[in-house]
Amino acid sequence: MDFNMSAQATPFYLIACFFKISTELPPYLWRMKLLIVEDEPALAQSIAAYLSDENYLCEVAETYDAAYEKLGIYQYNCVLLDLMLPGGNGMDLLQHIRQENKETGVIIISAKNSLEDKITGLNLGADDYLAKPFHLPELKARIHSIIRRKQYENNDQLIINELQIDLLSKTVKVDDTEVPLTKKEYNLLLYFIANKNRVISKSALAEHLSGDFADLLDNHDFVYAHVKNLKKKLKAAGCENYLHTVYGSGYKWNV
Amino acid sequence: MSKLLDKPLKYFSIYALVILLLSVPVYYYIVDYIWLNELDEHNEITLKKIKKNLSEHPQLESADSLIQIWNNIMPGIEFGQYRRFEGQSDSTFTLFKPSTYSNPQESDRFRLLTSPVQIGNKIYKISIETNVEEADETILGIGFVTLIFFVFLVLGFLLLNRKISKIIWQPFYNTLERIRQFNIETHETIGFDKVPIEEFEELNHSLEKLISQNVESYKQQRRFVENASHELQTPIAILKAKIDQWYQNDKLLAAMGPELAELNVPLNRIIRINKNLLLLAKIENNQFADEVSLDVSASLEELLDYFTEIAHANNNILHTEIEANCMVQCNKFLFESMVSNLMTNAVKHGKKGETVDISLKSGTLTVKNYGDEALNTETIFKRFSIHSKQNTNSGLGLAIVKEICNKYNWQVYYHFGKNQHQFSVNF
Repeated sequence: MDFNMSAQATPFYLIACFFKISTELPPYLWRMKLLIVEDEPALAQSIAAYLSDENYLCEVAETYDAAYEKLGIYQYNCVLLDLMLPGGNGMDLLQHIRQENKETGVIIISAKNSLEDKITGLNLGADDYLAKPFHLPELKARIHSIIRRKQYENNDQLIINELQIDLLSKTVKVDDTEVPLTKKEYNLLLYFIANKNRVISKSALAEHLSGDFADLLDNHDFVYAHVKNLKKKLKAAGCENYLHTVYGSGYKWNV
Repeated sequence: MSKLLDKPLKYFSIYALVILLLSVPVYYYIVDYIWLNELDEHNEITLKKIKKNLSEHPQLESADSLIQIWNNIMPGIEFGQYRRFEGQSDSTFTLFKPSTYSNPQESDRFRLLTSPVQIGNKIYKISIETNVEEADETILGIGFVTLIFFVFLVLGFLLLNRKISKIIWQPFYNTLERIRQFNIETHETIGFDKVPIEEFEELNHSLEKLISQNVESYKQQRRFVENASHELQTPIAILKAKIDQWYQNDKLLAAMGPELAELNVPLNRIIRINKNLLLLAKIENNQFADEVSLDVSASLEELLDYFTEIAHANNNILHTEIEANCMVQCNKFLFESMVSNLMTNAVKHGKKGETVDISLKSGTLTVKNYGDEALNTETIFKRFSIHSKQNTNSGLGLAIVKEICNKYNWQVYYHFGKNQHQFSVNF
């Protein structure tokens, strides 16, 4: 099943973009093609709706065969791969992808969260493993990071207006003034940028900041402290305020 | 509690005693009967011999003087006169006479045979007497022997009992030992040896059946927990994704932003419970087999990084005292899960503004936090036992700690003193 809106928009958008790209947009803003291999339609729909924007084009395959067929026809920048699929195992699809194409990023999204699956998947060439249930911003941040790594190996700069991020040295500059960020703040910044123009809940931020053990606590106040510091430091360096608080809900990076 | 075999031993002994006591008079009567019969026969033979001898000496015309001498020197046989009204025929009877030699108070028992005998032309009454053992002496003898036999019998019972319990009951004790060592959590099936005794074989067979049924339902229950948790992941994932998706709807966010944020709280709780149940099931199913020699100190420092923030946000002061280079053989993820659960509890339930102490000293990890009252040590490590009013717990944190400690044979203690909850894990 294609995500209809995006599918219809593709050729149109590409042509429109062609000129834009060559003139003003940096290469990392090309529209990325994503394949969501997930047999649960409601989940696939939510993922597609969240990820789709002017940069990402999502397609959904609900069965092994549908995914196999699509992979034969199109090139994808990234594939989100569920392991338990009607008609086959996601691992076989992964092997298939790796035989055909080295460039495609693959993120396994599995409900099993078993270490063996994770190891097998990564050994077979998956780029990441995300256990269900996950926050959509987390998924998007991971996709962002993989695509950046895969497609733009030579481009280690992320530039948003006056903000320059060197991904190799992990330093942030605002108009050549270095912003002294902690590791957590730096991660947070990348997370916001990957999820630009999306409202991110505190719960998602907390999970991102504290990894495996975030869900042990319900107190997400520490998130607030980090966000506040990040905001303060960016402001002090003269960066425009892109990071907005959405009352009672979370945060949004508006560009 | 007495042993099974001691019970019949007691009754056997009582029965033996009764029978042996009853046998004493029976023995006495039989011995006495045989004794008297034998003496009567002996007396008879003596009489016949005397009669025969007398008939061979017809020259004894008048034997009064001879008889006088005879009676004086020969014990046991006496010639006398019949009294007037005495019937002149053979008669056998028992007679008690005062003892001649020993104590005069005692009397001896004699068996007598009287018979008329003719010497010359005179009828004499010949009495042949033989000393018979007295009743009391016989009874005493028999009683004494019986008692000795009884003692032997009881000793025999005891020895046999021990032997029987060793030989015959051995299969039973084997079975008992197997059951005692059986642990349903280790996934082993119980196998009993073949026994040549029908009852025990039947017992083993029934036990095997019972246990295998239990093991099966135990496995099923575990698989059920694991499967149920897995099955729940997908709908939970949908819910979580939907909420994230709704966050992007400006109108919805404007109208219900805080409510939407509140949805994440119970959802996170479900996720946590489900995750913890799955973790427990996985530990039980031995799915964390890979172990490394883990630098616990370094691992702790790493975790403290995160918990310092949390404690700070919670208005707690984190006091740490971590000994360096403590190495423990375990799975890294499980160790981190255990420590996280302990620390989370300490930070979450610790009194605001007070310290939370975490120390690693000589292989013992201790987590302390201030609290008002001691927790119930009976149920503290049980699943879903409620320790606080806070409704955000998964109720599984300490169960996981316990399970991980069990897996690696670490000792975990809870202690409450000086208003402080203290959990210690001894590696």
